[in-house]
Amino acid sequence: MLIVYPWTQRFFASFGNLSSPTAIVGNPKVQAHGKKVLTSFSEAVKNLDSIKKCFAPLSKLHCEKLHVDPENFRLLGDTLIIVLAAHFGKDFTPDCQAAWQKLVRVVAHALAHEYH
Amino acid sequence: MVLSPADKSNVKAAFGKIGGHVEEYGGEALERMFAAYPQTKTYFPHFDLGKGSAQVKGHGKKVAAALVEAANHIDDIAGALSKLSDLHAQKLRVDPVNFKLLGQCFLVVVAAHNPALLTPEVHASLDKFLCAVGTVLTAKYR
Repeated sequence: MLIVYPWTQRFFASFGNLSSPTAIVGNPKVQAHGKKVLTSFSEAVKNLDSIKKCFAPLSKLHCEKLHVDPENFRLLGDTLIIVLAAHFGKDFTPDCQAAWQKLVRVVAHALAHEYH
Repeated sequence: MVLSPADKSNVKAAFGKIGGHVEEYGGEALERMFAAYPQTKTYFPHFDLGKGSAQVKGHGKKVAAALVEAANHIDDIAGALSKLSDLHAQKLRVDPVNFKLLGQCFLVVVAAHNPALLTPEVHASLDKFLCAVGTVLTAKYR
């Protein structure tokens, strides 16, 4: 996401060197943050019936402290899906993609839900 | 969004590596788009959209051919796709939002079949290219 949609770097000034794709890929803060984000996603997967509730605190955080435009959640979701496709190849079937596109949309929506 | 020389070179190289598979990718991208974004099916009431549909495969070939044409004339995508642009503006009038959806699905197909090809830089270039194609196809809408 930081490479494909470089304007998303605006939220990560504290991450140090994001000056090139190589720098971004090798940046330990990026890797650590990626782990955090995916762990959070896995919480959604464990709580598929109450995603809005599950993400309410994170939503407030993204609005009030982090000031992230929710459009960025959509960009990350789409990028995540492409990463999954690259990892799982043919196993990432059209039905699988369809379900994941719904999931990322629901997660993005939940993360935006508490915005005011 | 402007395609840099590096973008153009990445796009041409990517299509080179995809080679003859591109027709199959077009069909699969459409299949994925219809599955993930059912609202896109509204543009194809006259098609059989079931699994393995020959019509979808045929249409996929057309879409792929247009992308290849754009890649081969990457310095003048508007010129290369001018007739398609007219067609979409006057006859098809597919809402602009849908080009992004197909673009996403095309990238997923490339990723699923060629993980090594889709480095972040190539992903970025292809994404920009697909955006540019969508922009050209909707340029004459109003």
